[in-house]
Parts: sequence; C-alpha cells; structure tokens
Amino acid sequence: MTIIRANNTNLMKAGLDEVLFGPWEQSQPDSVISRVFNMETHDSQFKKYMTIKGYPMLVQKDEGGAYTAADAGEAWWTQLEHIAYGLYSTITHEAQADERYGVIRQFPNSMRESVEATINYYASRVFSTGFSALPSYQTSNRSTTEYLFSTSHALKGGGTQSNRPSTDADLTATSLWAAVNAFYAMTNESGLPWYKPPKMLLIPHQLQQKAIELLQSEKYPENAENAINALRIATNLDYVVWPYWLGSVDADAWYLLAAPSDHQVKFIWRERPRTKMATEDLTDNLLYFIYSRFSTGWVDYKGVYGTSGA
Amino acid sequence: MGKDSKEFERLEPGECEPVQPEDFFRYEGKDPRFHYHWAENNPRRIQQLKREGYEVDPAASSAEAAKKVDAQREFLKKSMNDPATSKENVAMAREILERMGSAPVDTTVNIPHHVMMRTSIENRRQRMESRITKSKKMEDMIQANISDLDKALKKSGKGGMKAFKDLFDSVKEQR
Repeated sequence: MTIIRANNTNLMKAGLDEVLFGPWEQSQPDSVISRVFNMETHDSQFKKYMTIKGYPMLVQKDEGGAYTAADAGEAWWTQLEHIAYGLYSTITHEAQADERYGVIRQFPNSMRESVEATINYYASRVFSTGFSALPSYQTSNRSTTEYLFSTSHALKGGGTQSNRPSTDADLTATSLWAAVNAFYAMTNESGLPWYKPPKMLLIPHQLQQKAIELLQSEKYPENAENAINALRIATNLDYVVWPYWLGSVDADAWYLLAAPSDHQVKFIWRERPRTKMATEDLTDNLLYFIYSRFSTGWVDYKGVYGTSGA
Repeated sequence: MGKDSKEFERLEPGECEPVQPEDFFRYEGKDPRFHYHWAENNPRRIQQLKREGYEVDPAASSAEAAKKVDAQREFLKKSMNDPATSKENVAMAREILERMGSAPVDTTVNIPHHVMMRTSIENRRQRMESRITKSKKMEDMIQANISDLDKALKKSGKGGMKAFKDLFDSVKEQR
C-alpha cells in the first residue's frame, strides 16, 4: 500500500486509538464511578432536575364523598452543566519517522491515564469536598452553604435533616451502625418516611481492612466476646474502594450509600472519550486530540451519608 | 364512621414533623476554639492523630477518668465505713471496689470504642487547605504528565517507517 499522508493519518489514529481504547474493553474508565453514581447520558448543554415536596398521607374517602385534592409541590431544582475536557498533542513528522517508536506508543497509554484520572478526579471530588463545597457543575435553589453532607438540610415541609454525624467519626462498628440507622430516619420533604436501604460503603483504600472486618467477619470484630456480627446479618453492604482518589485527599473519610438507582448523586456523560487526528499542513505534524464532556453533582442528598476525616 | 374519621384528619406536608434520629455522636461542651473528632480507641490511631496535632479532649482523658474513679472509690469506702450502711450495701460496695480498675479514657464521656479528640480550629483549617492543595496537585500532575510526553515526542530524532511497524506490531501483541 502506498503510504500517502491521508492514509498515514488514519493508520496512525487507528493504531493510537487501539492502544488507547483497548484496555477499556476489559475495564471501562468509569468502572468505579458507575458502581457509585446514578449514571445518565444526556444530549444537551445542561440537565435540570426538580424534586417535589411530596404528598401528605392519603385522606379518608367517605362513601360517595369526593376525593381530596393534594398538590405535590415543588421542592428544589438543581442544574448540572456539562463541561468539556480535552487536549491535543503534537506528533512531529520526525517523530513519526523515528526509529524510537517507544515514545509514541506510550503516548495513547498516557492519554488514557489522563482521561481516567480526569473523570475519577472530578467525580471523586463530589464526595471528598462534599463537606465544604458544591460541585462546580452544579447550580441550585438550595442555600449555597448546603453541601452534600450536612447536619441541617432544609426540608420544604419544615425542619431539617442530617446525613452526617454531628461530630465526625472514624469508621467503626458503632459509627457504621449509626449511619445505617440514619437511613431509617430519612424522610422526604414532607417529613414522611423515605427509606432506601444502604447498599454500599464507599471508602479510601486506607480503610479497606477495616471495612472487610466490619462487613465480612462472622463475629463482632471489635472485641473478643464472640458475639455475632449483627451488621453483617442485618445489612447486605458491599464496600467500594476508590483507589487513590479518595485516600489521597482524605484518608479517613467514609460514605454510606443506597444503591445508585435509589440516590440522586449523578454522573452524566455528555460525550464519552473520543479521539480525532488532524495534520498540520505547514509542518506535516500530526495532532492527536482527545475529548470528553460530562458533569457530576448531586440533585438530592437522600440515600447518602458521610463523615469527614479528622 | 363519622366519629372515627376524626382520627384521620388530613396532614398537610408542613404538618408532618420529620423524625429526628438520636444524635448518637453529639458531644456536649465543645470549646468553639477546637475541632472535634471521634477517633477509634486504639493506640495506633490515637498516636497518629496526636502526630497530626490532635489531643485527647481533656474532659475525655484518662487523667479525668482517674479523678472520677478516685471520687467513686472514696465514696464507696466512705459508705462502707458508715455504720448506717446495710450489710448488703457494704458487700455490694466491696464488690464494686474490687471490680474497679483503671479506665483508659473516661467512659462516661466517650462512646465505646471511641475517644474524643480535638485540635485547634487553625490546625483544622490548615488540614482542610492541605486537602484542597493535594487535590489540586493531582489535577496539575495530570497536565504535567501529558505535557512531558508532548515534549518528548517533539524531541524524538530521525528515523524510518519502522516506527509504524512497531506500533502495529505492538497492537497485534496486545490482541
């Protein structure tokens, strides 16, 4: 086959893409994220969510009597605006022709690492900064100081609700039980019970040993009295370690979550990672681009509970 | 039916008082100059937090616990020596005295398996800033990684089509 520039570009892109995307056939870049977040895809600039206040309890209907009207009412809106991330790198004509191809082969690998790092970094920040900041993708009609984890989430029906301990605590059987019990106490905006069982303990790698002891020991793991591990029996908690990202920021924070379909912490793919290649006419350099667009944030705090590290 | 229906009055959303769970980790008497944290009660964890500028809250310390234990011990001894104390109560006091050992932390203040530790608000602020900095460093690292490779590619020397061949050979190997 004659190597002409057009073929060259396509061949090069195909090769680089193969190296870049190949490993994702085994494990997607969002493999941890998809276990933790309520995942969505979307096809517009931003997505707006509205939560409702909820109905009161049903009203008794007497024989022949009319039904009582009720209005669910608006509660909170949240808008998540997708942000694009990308970069390009130049492969000079000389580099393409160079014997030392090892450098170019590293190139898509590094880009893949970069994509994985980027999405995991921004997604993990929803949790790691969830005690003191709002995700940058997010606007809402909630108070600007109402963070994902708070002891005073305002309820539309009056009062407040908490999804973190009033004093942060290490991960122990006691604190984990308290978190599990907090799920039983969660209510909707009207104050009616909102119960979804906790399913997942999200932890930094430093707490992995502790999590396994708490969730998988047959006996109560914190003393030598050989009592049963009631936590294991009563709950069906799995643990998820977010390698590097959580532990490198806060090594002793931990989070308890309902199943992704039951909570409203969102990760929205606007465009999954894709590449393109172009040739610079004046230099013959190849430009290899990678691009992705997504947003992440929380629409509602119900179904998640967390405590900050010391 | 009409009489019973009074029990089923309509509840407006605002009338439903949210259930407030027991605030298990509430800690009374916090000093506003300090940040508090329930640490797991094991020596390694306590030492780790001490290295990071935390201290056991004096109200939850072993010294404070010892004072309370001493006061209880004195009370029991005094009761035992009081002629008005019944024989049963004397026996009970003796048994309690025998059981009373030293307490590592004040168990009347601490939650079992936890110790209340605290650090200055300033130290806490610095720790939180450090987390933000660490987080930012990760972001910078991602950029630097790509930038270095970009430079390396540009500095690559001259050569032939072997580069392409190597690339596709490597892809074949991966398959």
